[in-house]
Amino acid sequence: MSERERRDEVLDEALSALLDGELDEAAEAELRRRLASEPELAARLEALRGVDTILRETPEPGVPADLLARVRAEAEAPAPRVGVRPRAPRRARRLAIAGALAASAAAALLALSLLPGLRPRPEAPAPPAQAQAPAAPLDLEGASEEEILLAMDLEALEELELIEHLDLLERLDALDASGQG
Amino acid sequence: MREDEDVRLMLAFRDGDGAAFDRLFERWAARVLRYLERMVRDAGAAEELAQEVFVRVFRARESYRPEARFSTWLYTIATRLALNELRRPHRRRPHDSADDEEGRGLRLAGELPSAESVAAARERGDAVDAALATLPERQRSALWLAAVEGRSYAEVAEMLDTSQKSVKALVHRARSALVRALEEEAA
Repeated sequence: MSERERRDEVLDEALSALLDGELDEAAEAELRRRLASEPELAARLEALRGVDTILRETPEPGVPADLLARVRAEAEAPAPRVGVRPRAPRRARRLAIAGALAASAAAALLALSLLPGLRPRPEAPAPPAQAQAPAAPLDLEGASEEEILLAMDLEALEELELIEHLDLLERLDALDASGQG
Repeated sequence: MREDEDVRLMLAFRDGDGAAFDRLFERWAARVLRYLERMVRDAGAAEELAQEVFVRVFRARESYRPEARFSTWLYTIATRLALNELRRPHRRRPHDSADDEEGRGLRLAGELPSAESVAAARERGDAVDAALATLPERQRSALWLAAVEGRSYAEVAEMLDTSQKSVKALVHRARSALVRALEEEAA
Protein backbone atom coordinates (compact mmCIF):
# COMPACT_ATOMS: atom_id res chain seq x y z
CA MET A 1 0.00 0.00 0.00
CA SER A 2 1.42 3.36 -1.00
CA GLU A 3 1.66 6.30 1.40
CA ARG A 4 -1.25 8.02 -0.34
CA GLU A 5 -3.40 4.90 -0.18
CA ARG A 6 -2.61 4.57 3.50
CA ARG A 7 -3.63 8.20 4.11
CA ASP A 8 -6.88 7.63 2.20
CA GLU A 9 -7.53 4.54 4.25
CA VAL A 10 -7.05 6.43 7.52
CA LEU A 11 -9.29 9.22 6.28
CA ASP A 12 -11.95 6.75 5.16
CA GLU A 13 -11.84 5.09 8.58
CA ALA A 14 -12.31 8.50 10.19
CA LEU A 15 -15.35 9.19 7.98
CA SER A 16 -16.83 5.88 9.01
CA ALA A 17 -16.24 6.65 12.67
CA LEU A 18 -17.83 10.08 12.17
CA LEU A 19 -21.00 8.42 10.90
CA ASP A 20 -21.06 6.26 14.01
CA GLY A 21 -20.46 9.19 16.34
CA GLU A 22 -17.19 7.67 17.48
CA LEU A 23 -14.72 10.51 16.87
CA ASP A 24 -13.51 12.63 19.73
CA GLU A 25 -14.42 16.29 19.70
CA ALA A 26 -11.15 17.58 18.24
CA ALA A 27 -10.97 14.96 15.49
CA GLU A 28 -14.58 15.57 14.54
CA ALA A 29 -14.07 19.32 14.34
CA GLU A 30 -11.02 18.89 12.12
CA LEU A 31 -12.82 16.47 9.83
CA ARG A 32 -15.86 18.69 9.52
CA ARG A 33 -13.61 21.62 8.60
CA ARG A 34 -12.11 19.55 5.79
CA LEU A 35 -15.53 18.31 4.68
CA ALA A 36 -16.68 21.90 4.25
CA SER A 37 -13.85 22.67 1.86
CA GLU A 38 -13.27 19.34 0.07
CA PRO A 39 -16.23 18.26 -2.08
CA GLU A 40 -14.61 14.93 -2.91
CA LEU A 41 -14.37 14.09 0.76
CA ALA A 42 -17.97 15.17 1.33
CA ALA A 43 -19.09 12.95 -1.54
CA ARG A 44 -17.26 10.02 -0.01
CA LEU A 45 -19.02 10.62 3.31
CA GLU A 46 -22.38 10.62 1.52
CA ALA A 47 -21.52 7.36 -0.23
CA LEU A 48 -20.74 5.75 3.11
CA ARG A 49 -23.89 7.20 4.62
CA GLY A 50 -25.89 5.78 1.71
CA VAL A 51 -24.90 2.25 2.69
CA ASP A 52 -26.23 2.80 6.19
CA THR A 53 -29.50 4.16 4.82
CA ILE A 54 -30.05 1.10 2.65
CA LEU A 55 -29.19 -1.31 5.46
CA ARG A 56 -31.54 0.44 7.87
CA GLU A 57 -34.36 0.13 5.36
CA THR A 58 -34.08 -3.65 5.34
CA PRO A 59 -37.61 -4.72 6.25
CA GLU A 60 -38.03 -6.54 9.51
CA PRO A 61 -39.10 -10.12 8.92
CA GLY A 62 -42.40 -11.44 10.12
CA VAL A 63 -42.07 -13.18 13.45
CA PRO A 64 -43.74 -16.60 13.28
CA ALA A 65 -46.91 -16.52 15.31
CA ASP A 66 -45.89 -19.59 17.29
CA LEU A 67 -42.30 -18.55 18.04
CA LEU A 68 -43.06 -17.18 21.48
CA ALA A 69 -44.96 -20.35 22.37
CA ARG A 70 -42.00 -22.42 21.17
CA VAL A 71 -39.61 -20.33 23.25
CA ARG A 72 -41.76 -20.78 26.32
CA ALA A 73 -42.20 -24.52 25.73
CA GLU A 74 -38.46 -25.05 25.39
CA ALA A 75 -37.49 -22.76 28.24
CA GLU A 76 -40.02 -24.23 30.64
CA ALA A 77 -39.36 -27.86 29.72
CA PRO A 78 -37.82 -29.83 32.56
CA ALA A 79 -34.17 -30.71 32.17
CA PRO A 80 -33.64 -34.12 30.56
CA ARG A 81 -33.48 -36.94 33.08
CA VAL A 82 -30.02 -38.16 33.88
CA GLY A 83 -29.10 -41.59 35.17
CA VAL A 84 -32.29 -43.38 34.19
CA ARG A 85 -30.52 -46.68 34.43
CA PRO A 86 -27.38 -47.67 36.29
CA ARG A 87 -24.38 -46.77 34.20
CA ALA A 88 -20.88 -48.11 34.15
CA PRO A 89 -18.06 -45.69 34.85
CA ARG A 90 -17.29 -43.40 31.91
CA ARG A 91 -13.99 -44.99 30.97
CA ALA A 92 -15.45 -48.51 31.11
CA ARG A 93 -18.29 -47.44 28.82
CA ARG A 94 -15.87 -45.80 26.43
CA LEU A 95 -13.75 -48.92 26.31
CA ALA A 96 -16.79 -51.12 25.73
CA ILE A 97 -17.98 -48.93 22.88
CA ALA A 98 -14.53 -48.58 21.37
CA GLY A 99 -14.07 -52.33 21.78
CA ALA A 100 -17.23 -52.94 19.82
CA LEU A 101 -15.98 -50.58 17.13
CA ALA A 102 -12.66 -52.38 17.10
CA ALA A 103 -14.43 -55.70 16.67
CA SER A 104 -16.41 -54.26 13.77
CA ALA A 105 -13.22 -52.99 12.17
CA ALA A 106 -11.53 -56.36 12.66
CA ALA A 107 -14.53 -58.16 11.16
CA ALA A 108 -14.46 -55.81 8.19
CA LEU A 109 -10.75 -56.47 7.74
CA LEU A 110 -11.30 -60.21 7.88
CA ALA A 111 -14.08 -60.02 5.32
CA LEU A 112 -11.99 -57.86 3.04
CA SER A 113 -8.96 -60.12 3.35
CA LEU A 114 -11.03 -63.10 2.20
CA LEU A 115 -11.97 -61.35 -1.03
CA PRO A 116 -9.74 -62.37 -3.95
CA GLY A 117 -7.08 -59.81 -4.81
CA LEU A 118 -7.65 -57.80 -1.65
CA ARG A 119 -5.06 -59.04 0.78
CA PRO A 120 -3.13 -56.48 2.83
CA ARG A 121 0.40 -55.83 1.74
CA PRO A 122 3.08 -57.09 4.15
CA GLU A 123 4.00 -53.58 5.26
CA ALA A 124 0.45 -52.79 6.33
CA PRO A 125 0.31 -52.19 10.11
CA ALA A 126 -0.88 -55.09 12.19
CA PRO A 127 -4.08 -54.53 14.14
CA PRO A 128 -3.36 -53.51 17.71
CA ALA A 129 -3.85 -56.07 20.44
CA GLN A 130 -6.98 -54.42 21.74
CA ALA A 131 -8.68 -54.79 18.39
CA GLN A 132 -8.24 -58.55 18.50
CA ALA A 133 -9.62 -58.92 22.00
CA PRO A 134 -13.21 -60.04 22.32
CA ALA A 135 -15.45 -57.04 22.41
CA ALA A 136 -17.88 -56.32 25.18
CA PRO A 137 -21.44 -56.84 23.99
CA LEU A 138 -23.09 -53.60 22.96
CA ASP A 139 -26.74 -53.18 22.13
CA LEU A 140 -26.60 -50.21 19.77
CA GLU A 141 -30.37 -50.14 19.39
CA GLY A 142 -30.70 -49.41 23.06
CA ALA A 143 -27.77 -47.05 23.18
CA SER A 144 -28.38 -43.62 24.60
CA GLU A 145 -27.55 -40.48 22.67
CA GLU A 146 -24.53 -40.03 24.87
CA GLU A 147 -23.29 -43.54 24.07
CA ILE A 148 -23.70 -42.97 20.36
CA LEU A 149 -21.81 -39.70 20.66
CA LEU A 150 -19.13 -41.45 22.65
CA ALA A 151 -18.86 -44.08 19.95
CA MET A 152 -18.03 -41.26 17.57
CA ASP A 153 -15.53 -39.77 19.97
CA LEU A 154 -12.23 -39.49 18.18
CA GLU A 155 -10.38 -39.58 21.47
CA ALA A 156 -11.78 -43.04 22.22
CA LEU A 157 -10.63 -44.24 18.82
CA GLU A 158 -7.18 -42.85 19.39
CA GLU A 159 -6.91 -44.59 22.74
CA LEU A 160 -7.18 -47.94 21.02
CA GLU A 161 -5.16 -46.94 17.97
CA LEU A 162 -8.13 -47.65 15.76
CA ILE A 163 -6.89 -44.97 13.43
CA GLU A 164 -4.46 -47.58 12.15
CA HIS A 165 -7.39 -49.78 11.16
CA LEU A 166 -9.00 -46.92 9.32
CA ASP A 167 -5.73 -46.25 7.56
CA LEU A 168 -5.52 -49.93 6.58
CA LEU A 169 -9.07 -49.91 5.28
CA GLU A 170 -8.30 -46.83 3.21
CA ARG A 171 -5.26 -48.58 1.75
CA LEU A 172 -7.35 -51.64 0.90
CA ASP A 173 -9.90 -49.39 -0.78
CA ALA A 174 -7.11 -47.78 -2.78
CA LEU A 175 -5.75 -51.18 -3.78
CA ASP A 176 -9.21 -52.28 -4.79
CA ALA A 177 -9.71 -49.17 -6.87
CA SER A 178 -6.35 -49.56 -8.61
CA GLY A 179 -6.82 -53.28 -9.25
CA GLN A 180 -3.63 -54.21 -7.32
CA GLY A 181 -3.37 -56.64 -4.48
CA MET B 1 -36.90 5.44 27.44
CA ARG B 2 -36.66 2.12 25.62
CA GLU B 3 -33.78 0.77 27.71
CA ASP B 4 -35.42 1.72 31.00
CA GLU B 5 -38.54 -0.08 29.90
CA ASP B 6 -36.53 -3.19 28.95
CA VAL B 7 -34.84 -3.26 32.32
CA ARG B 8 -38.15 -2.74 34.09
CA LEU B 9 -39.70 -5.61 32.13
CA MET B 10 -36.77 -7.93 32.76
CA LEU B 11 -36.85 -7.18 36.48
CA ALA B 12 -40.61 -7.75 36.52
CA PHE B 13 -40.09 -11.06 34.75
CA ARG B 14 -37.40 -12.01 37.26
CA ASP B 15 -39.91 -11.29 40.00
CA GLY B 16 -42.50 -13.62 38.49
CA ASP B 17 -44.43 -11.54 35.97
CA GLY B 18 -44.61 -13.88 32.97
CA ALA B 19 -46.35 -11.32 30.78
CA ALA B 20 -43.28 -9.09 31.06
CA PHE B 21 -41.28 -11.68 29.13
CA ASP B 22 -43.91 -11.73 26.38
CA ARG B 23 -43.65 -7.97 26.16
CA LEU B 24 -39.86 -8.12 25.86
CA PHE B 25 -40.22 -10.71 23.12
CA GLU B 26 -42.67 -8.48 21.23
CA ARG B 27 -40.31 -5.53 21.53
CA TRP B 28 -37.21 -7.30 20.29
CA ALA B 29 -38.04 -10.47 18.34
CA ALA B 30 -38.35 -8.91 14.88
CA ARG B 31 -35.14 -6.89 15.19
CA VAL B 32 -33.17 -9.81 16.54
CA LEU B 33 -34.56 -12.07 13.82
CA ARG B 34 -33.62 -9.54 11.13
CA TYR B 35 -30.07 -9.33 12.49
CA LEU B 36 -29.76 -13.10 12.62
CA GLU B 37 -31.11 -13.47 9.08
CA ARG B 38 -28.52 -11.02 7.83
CA MET B 39 -25.83 -12.89 9.73
CA VAL B 40 -26.56 -16.51 8.83
CA ARG B 41 -28.38 -15.90 5.50
CA ASP B 42 -30.82 -18.68 6.22
CA ALA B 43 -34.33 -17.86 7.41
CA GLY B 44 -34.87 -21.25 9.04
CA ALA B 45 -31.57 -21.20 10.90
CA ALA B 46 -32.14 -17.59 11.94
CA GLU B 47 -35.51 -18.51 13.38
CA GLU B 48 -34.01 -21.36 15.38
CA LEU B 49 -31.28 -19.05 16.65
CA ALA B 50 -33.82 -16.39 17.61
CA GLN B 51 -35.71 -19.03 19.56
CA GLU B 52 -32.49 -19.99 21.34
CA VAL B 53 -31.70 -16.35 22.14
CA PHE B 54 -35.02 -15.89 23.94
CA VAL B 55 -34.83 -19.28 25.61
CA ARG B 56 -31.53 -18.14 27.12
CA VAL B 57 -33.02 -14.85 28.24
CA PHE B 58 -35.92 -16.72 29.80
CA ARG B 59 -33.67 -19.14 31.65
CA ALA B 60 -31.33 -16.41 32.87
CA ARG B 61 -34.07 -14.40 34.54
CA GLU B 62 -33.14 -15.36 38.08
CA SER B 63 -29.53 -14.28 37.67
CA TYR B 64 -30.35 -11.12 35.71
CA ARG B 65 -28.78 -7.95 37.11
CA PRO B 66 -29.34 -4.62 35.34
CA GLU B 67 -25.64 -3.82 35.12
CA ALA B 68 -25.52 -3.46 31.34
CA ARG B 69 -28.14 -2.43 28.81
CA PHE B 70 -30.64 -5.21 28.27
CA SER B 71 -30.26 -4.94 24.51
CA THR B 72 -26.47 -5.22 24.73
CA TRP B 73 -26.90 -8.47 26.58
CA LEU B 74 -29.53 -9.64 24.08
CA TYR B 75 -27.36 -8.87 21.05
CA THR B 76 -24.33 -10.42 22.68
CA ILE B 77 -26.24 -13.69 22.98
CA ALA B 78 -27.49 -13.38 19.40
CA THR B 79 -24.06 -12.52 18.02
CA ARG B 80 -22.32 -15.42 19.69
CA LEU B 81 -24.97 -17.89 18.62
CA ALA B 82 -24.77 -16.59 15.03
CA LEU B 83 -20.97 -16.84 14.94
CA ASN B 84 -21.13 -20.37 16.34
CA GLU B 85 -23.70 -21.30 13.72
CA LEU B 86 -21.51 -19.91 10.94
CA ARG B 87 -18.55 -21.94 12.15
CA ARG B 88 -20.55 -25.14 12.33
CA PRO B 89 -19.38 -27.56 9.65
CA HIS B 90 -21.86 -28.68 7.00
CA ARG B 91 -24.38 -26.01 7.90
CA ARG B 92 -27.43 -25.96 5.70
CA ARG B 93 -27.30 -24.10 2.42
CA PRO B 94 -28.48 -20.54 2.94
CA HIS B 95 -31.39 -19.06 1.10
CA ASP B 96 -32.67 -15.54 0.83
CA SER B 97 -35.24 -14.86 3.48
CA ALA B 98 -36.73 -12.10 1.34
CA ASP B 99 -38.09 -14.83 -0.92
CA ASP B 100 -39.64 -16.64 1.96
CA GLU B 101 -42.11 -14.23 3.41
CA GLU B 102 -45.16 -16.33 2.70
CA GLY B 103 -45.99 -18.80 5.37
CA ARG B 104 -43.73 -17.14 7.91
CA GLY B 105 -46.61 -16.50 10.26
CA LEU B 106 -47.96 -13.27 11.60
CA ARG B 107 -46.04 -10.06 11.81
CA LEU B 108 -46.16 -8.28 15.11
CA ALA B 109 -48.78 -5.57 15.33
CA GLY B 110 -47.75 -2.15 14.09
CA GLU B 111 -44.76 -3.34 12.07
CA LEU B 112 -46.31 -3.90 8.67
CA PRO B 113 -44.37 -1.98 5.99
CA SER B 114 -46.19 -0.91 2.86
CA ALA B 115 -45.83 -3.02 -0.29
CA GLU B 116 -44.19 -0.04 -1.99
CA SER B 117 -41.58 0.42 0.70
CA VAL B 118 -40.71 -3.27 0.65
CA ALA B 119 -40.34 -3.22 -3.14
CA ALA B 120 -38.22 -0.07 -3.07
CA ALA B 121 -35.98 -1.40 -0.33
CA ARG B 122 -35.49 -4.61 -2.26
CA GLU B 123 -34.58 -2.77 -5.43
CA ARG B 124 -32.06 -0.47 -3.81
CA GLY B 125 -30.84 -2.97 -1.32
CA ASP B 126 -30.16 -5.89 -3.63
CA ALA B 127 -26.58 -4.93 -4.44
CA VAL B 128 -25.80 -4.00 -0.86
CA ASP B 129 -27.47 -7.10 0.48
CA ALA B 130 -25.56 -9.35 -1.90
CA ALA B 131 -22.31 -7.65 -0.95
CA LEU B 132 -23.18 -7.89 2.74
CA ALA B 133 -23.46 -11.65 2.34
CA THR B 134 -19.92 -11.86 1.03
CA LEU B 135 -18.35 -9.94 3.92
CA PRO B 136 -16.40 -11.83 6.57
CA GLU B 137 -18.80 -12.64 9.40
CA ARG B 138 -17.25 -10.28 11.96
CA GLN B 139 -17.28 -7.36 9.52
CA ARG B 140 -20.93 -8.11 8.76
CA SER B 141 -21.79 -8.26 12.42
CA ALA B 142 -19.84 -5.14 13.38
CA LEU B 143 -21.34 -3.04 10.59
CA TRP B 144 -24.89 -4.15 11.31
CA LEU B 145 -24.60 -3.58 15.03
CA ALA B 146 -23.01 -0.14 14.66
CA ALA B 147 -24.80 1.22 11.60
CA VAL B 148 -28.24 -0.35 11.89
CA GLU B 149 -28.66 -1.11 15.57
CA GLY B 150 -26.82 2.03 16.63
CA ARG B 151 -24.50 0.29 19.05
CA SER B 152 -21.37 2.07 20.22
CA TYR B 153 -17.99 0.61 19.28
CA ALA B 154 -17.53 -0.24 22.96
CA GLU B 155 -20.71 -2.31 22.95
CA VAL B 156 -19.84 -4.02 19.66
CA ALA B 157 -16.38 -4.78 21.02
CA GLU B 158 -18.00 -6.49 23.98
CA MET B 159 -20.35 -8.45 21.75
CA LEU B 160 -17.55 -9.60 19.46
CA ASP B 161 -15.08 -10.04 22.29
CA THR B 162 -12.53 -7.74 20.71
CA SER B 163 -11.11 -4.22 21.05
CA GLN B 164 -12.79 -0.95 20.04
CA LYS B 165 -9.91 -0.34 17.65
CA SER B 166 -10.69 -3.62 15.89
CA VAL B 167 -14.36 -2.73 15.70
CA LYS B 168 -13.50 0.61 14.11
CA ALA B 169 -11.47 -1.20 11.44
CA LEU B 170 -14.12 -3.90 10.92
CA VAL B 171 -16.91 -1.37 10.44
CA HIS B 172 -14.81 0.76 8.11
CA ARG B 173 -13.78 -2.19 5.91
CA ALA B 174 -17.35 -3.43 5.73
CA ARG B 175 -18.74 -0.01 4.76
CA SER B 176 -16.06 0.51 2.14
CA ALA B 177 -16.76 -2.91 0.62
CA LEU B 178 -20.46 -2.11 0.37
CA VAL B 179 -19.78 1.28 -1.21
CA ARG B 180 -17.61 -0.47 -3.81
CA ALA B 181 -20.45 -2.91 -4.48
CA LEU B 182 -22.88 -0.04 -5.02
CA GLU B 183 -20.43 1.76 -7.30
CA GLU B 184 -19.91 -1.40 -9.36
CA GLU B 185 -23.66 -1.87 -9.58
CA ALA B 186 -24.08 1.69 -10.82
CA ALA B 187 -21.23 1.40 -13.36
